[in-house]
Amino acid sequence: MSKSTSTMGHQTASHSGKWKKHLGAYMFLAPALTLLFTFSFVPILYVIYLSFHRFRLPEDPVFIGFENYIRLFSDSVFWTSIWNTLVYTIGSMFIGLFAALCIAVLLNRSFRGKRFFKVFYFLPTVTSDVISAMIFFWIFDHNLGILNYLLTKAGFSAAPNWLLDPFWAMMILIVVGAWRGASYNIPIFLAGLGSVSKSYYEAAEIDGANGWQKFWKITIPSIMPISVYCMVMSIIGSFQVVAIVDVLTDGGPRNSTLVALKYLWQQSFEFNYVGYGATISLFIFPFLLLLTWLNLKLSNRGG
Amino acid sequence: MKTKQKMNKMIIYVLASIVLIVFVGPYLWMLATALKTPGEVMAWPPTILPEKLYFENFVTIWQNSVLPRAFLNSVIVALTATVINVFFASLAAFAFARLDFPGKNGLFLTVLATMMIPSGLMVVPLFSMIRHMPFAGANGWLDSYAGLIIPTAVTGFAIFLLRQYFMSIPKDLDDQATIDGCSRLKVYWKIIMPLSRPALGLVAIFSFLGNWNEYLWHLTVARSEEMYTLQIALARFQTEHNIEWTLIMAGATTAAIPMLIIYFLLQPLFERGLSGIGTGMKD
Amino acid sequence: MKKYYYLVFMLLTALCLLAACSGNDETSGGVDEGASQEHLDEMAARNFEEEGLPEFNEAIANLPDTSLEVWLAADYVDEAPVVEAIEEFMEIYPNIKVETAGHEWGDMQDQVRLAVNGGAPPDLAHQHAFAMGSQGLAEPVSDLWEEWGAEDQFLPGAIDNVTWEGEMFGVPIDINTTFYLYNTEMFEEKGLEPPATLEEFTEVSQEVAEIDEGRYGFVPAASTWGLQGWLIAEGTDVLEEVDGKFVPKLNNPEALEVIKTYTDIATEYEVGPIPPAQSRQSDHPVAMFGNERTAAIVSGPFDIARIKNEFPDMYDKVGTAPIPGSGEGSVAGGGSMFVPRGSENREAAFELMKWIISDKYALRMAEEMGRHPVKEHLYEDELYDDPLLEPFVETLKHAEQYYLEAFPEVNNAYTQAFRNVFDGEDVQSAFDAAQAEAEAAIEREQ
Repeated sequence: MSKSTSTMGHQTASHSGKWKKHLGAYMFLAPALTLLFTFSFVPILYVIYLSFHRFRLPEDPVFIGFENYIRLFSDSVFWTSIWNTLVYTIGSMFIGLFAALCIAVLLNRSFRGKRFFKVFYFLPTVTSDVISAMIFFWIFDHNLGILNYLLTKAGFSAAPNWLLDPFWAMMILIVVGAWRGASYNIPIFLAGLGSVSKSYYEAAEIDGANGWQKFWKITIPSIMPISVYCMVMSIIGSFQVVAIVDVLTDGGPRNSTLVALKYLWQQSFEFNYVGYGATISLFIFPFLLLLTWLNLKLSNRGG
Repeated sequence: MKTKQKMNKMIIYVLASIVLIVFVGPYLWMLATALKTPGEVMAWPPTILPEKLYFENFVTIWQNSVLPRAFLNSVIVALTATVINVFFASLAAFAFARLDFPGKNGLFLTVLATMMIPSGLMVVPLFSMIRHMPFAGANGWLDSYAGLIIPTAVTGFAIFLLRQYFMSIPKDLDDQATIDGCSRLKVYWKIIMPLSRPALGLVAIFSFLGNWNEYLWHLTVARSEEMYTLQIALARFQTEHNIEWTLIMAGATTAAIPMLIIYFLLQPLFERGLSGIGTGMKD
Repeated sequence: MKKYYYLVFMLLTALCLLAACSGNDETSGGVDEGASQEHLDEMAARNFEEEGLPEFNEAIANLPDTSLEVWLAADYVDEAPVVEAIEEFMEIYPNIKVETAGHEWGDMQDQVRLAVNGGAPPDLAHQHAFAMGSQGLAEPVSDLWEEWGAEDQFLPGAIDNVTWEGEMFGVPIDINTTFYLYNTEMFEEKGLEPPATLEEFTEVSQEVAEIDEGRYGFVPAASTWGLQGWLIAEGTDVLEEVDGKFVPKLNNPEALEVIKTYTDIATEYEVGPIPPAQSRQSDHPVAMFGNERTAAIVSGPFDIARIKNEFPDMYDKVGTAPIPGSGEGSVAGGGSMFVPRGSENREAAFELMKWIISDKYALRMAEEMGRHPVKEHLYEDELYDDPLLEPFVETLKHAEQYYLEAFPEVNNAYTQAFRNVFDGEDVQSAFDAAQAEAEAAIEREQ
């Protein structure tokens, strides 16, 4: 853009100072950033303010210094919720991305009817998480779900009460998350695979590489950047999971699926500790910010 | 050799079909439930397929007084927000991808940061902001389309996605145009935008999807039934019919269908958009 | 590819047009200014009492044009008795315009809090007025009650629902209690009677179950409001009143005894399912009962209405009895209407409350919705000759409120403990932990 000599809008004068050019750039940014920042940073400032207050609607906030922060560090339920969120995030990310990659590799072969499969694989992405969770409830519920009935029919009499067992409840959340994640990421991986240059493979074939070697030595490194992107996006999404937890387990059994956002919600709205809720959300935020920075760093390597 | 190839084809189809069952199976189960009678759904032993197709559930849903209007509201809200997002975000993304200005990296990082703000708690300050919106009457933007649409319209994700895509477009193209005397606005409108249709389609779909499925914010803004959006109406409908799982599933199906139609229509565009993002990330 | 864009574009344009057409409903009428003399005369001549309606209130009729924003629970707002009560109110007071909106019961408290805090409260909302009053979310209305002078017509349990520390915060809309519902056919088949004591409850539930056929003896719920009926029936409680203040005693040994008996049905004897984990699972029992997958449940009169409407085939088989226990009484349920803090239309909203629960509409709510009246004299209606409602009417006199509703955090600790017992935790340790949590929460409140 350094060659550009024009400004935005009417080009009246040939003289264009640097600041004018910059002003033009800001004009491009203005509409989007005004809206985005007004409706996210003004509230954030307010949240920071609230985190130092005891705020119970409808009373006015009362300044209490770092009390909320002290409470946060000694609040074992909060740390449980962070732990659960991490387990869910990492579990669903790896299973989801691994599945997406495998399916993308499969779809990367040419066969008839490929498009048909591709379209239907995307179904979970276009339906809301609440609806997906409701469907899985109908599958996994120990009483009314179809799964346990089929298992009993098949001879497994001691099928677990899926959503009521701490281990299985988390597993099911991870599976549902991974199921949605895989669906979302298949086309992205597919796009990544499609852009790997054929000449690499040809060269490798001449060197006598077999299928696996080609996959590990060429395919995986080529799609690494896009995998990083998928991972970071998946972390951002998974860290804010709450809807499927609400529908499937409501945080139970015994807090084993209580995730950070659900706890935040509980504290700020159910118990009306809005100030404490603010503190919790501030703690979640830098963690994710770090990941974004990582994302930018990695995605910027070539761009 | 021939048989081996045939075998390979077979294996591909078998695998693809298994995956298909995993992704589509649950939806078929939803549809089957939506087409059962209330009694059949709780019956023991359960039935897999409906004994007889019972469309009554869908009729009941559409007879619900609030739902048609809510459906329309959702269309209006999702559509307007999508248009705003595509237009504004592409302008900003153009600046981030192609223009130089002080504070560029900082601003971009800030945009990305907005993606990770947990939305839950924002409701408290946002409510007050909306309520005290200047020049908008006593209750500000409460209970209005503006309140439903504007605060959540522009997303950091859209700016990010479009910037990545714009970066994958060869710079020579707009350099050439600039030399030919095109203004930056013209470069944006005449060169970048037409070349980015797939990415714009992608952003449009995600934007529409996000607004279509929004619940919490809409619940906060919408006060009268005339302003309810689909997800609120469905949630309300669920409380009214909380043991009629057949109706709930029929409602869920109703909410999913428009999204599916849009996806089917935009699918080719969508995929090219994704591959653009893919290469944009890679280069 | 062009074709696709075109199609999408056409579709969207069509929808936009549609939206534009229906988006501009002009709602402002505003023809009437105050009350015309003609209207006043007409009203003075009309005998409202005979029609089972509140007296004509000239002060309300003389108010300037007012618009009331009314939030009712989603399962009330569209029901004919409620809708028609509001319509008739607007006919009598043409200067008052009422706009209703339905809210999910569980969302109501959050929504009211947000609205009050943001300075945009509705004029009337529907929840437990005592709980809202205790949190400073409702306008006190004791003065309006005094003016009305009708307090002695109400059931004491209903008045409790609107009273907090001596102040009244609203008008009760309906009342219910819980009792035992059983499938008479299944009981007769086995020659059984509904259980009268807790021991009998355990025995009967086991005998009537046919687990292999998918039939349970009793379906418990993980709802602590539902549990409260059992505690009261056994003469115990988990809240103690000390100097006019409530103190939680969640690990009260007598209460734990009841809780153990109740949960053992599912966890120990396995003749009842473990309740599902979702927060809204209180409807699960009636669905199982209506579909004849269980021989018995405990629920309120609203579910009798529901069974009649939704499971007409099994309605004839329903039998009712009080909750097994050594004492009498049950938990009082139902809700109340209140004026959210900051509303400027307190008087008009209060008048509307009177209309919604007037004799004429209260009886219709009972008949059509299974939501029963809060005024004592209405129980003389022939509607209550129904033997199915007998345990309800009986327990009504001794029904007590579930006051934990006013302490969200304590209530949550208690509910969690109850849930945990279903998920396998020992009763004593679960409720000891809950008590400790409750005490910490109360300390935080101060």
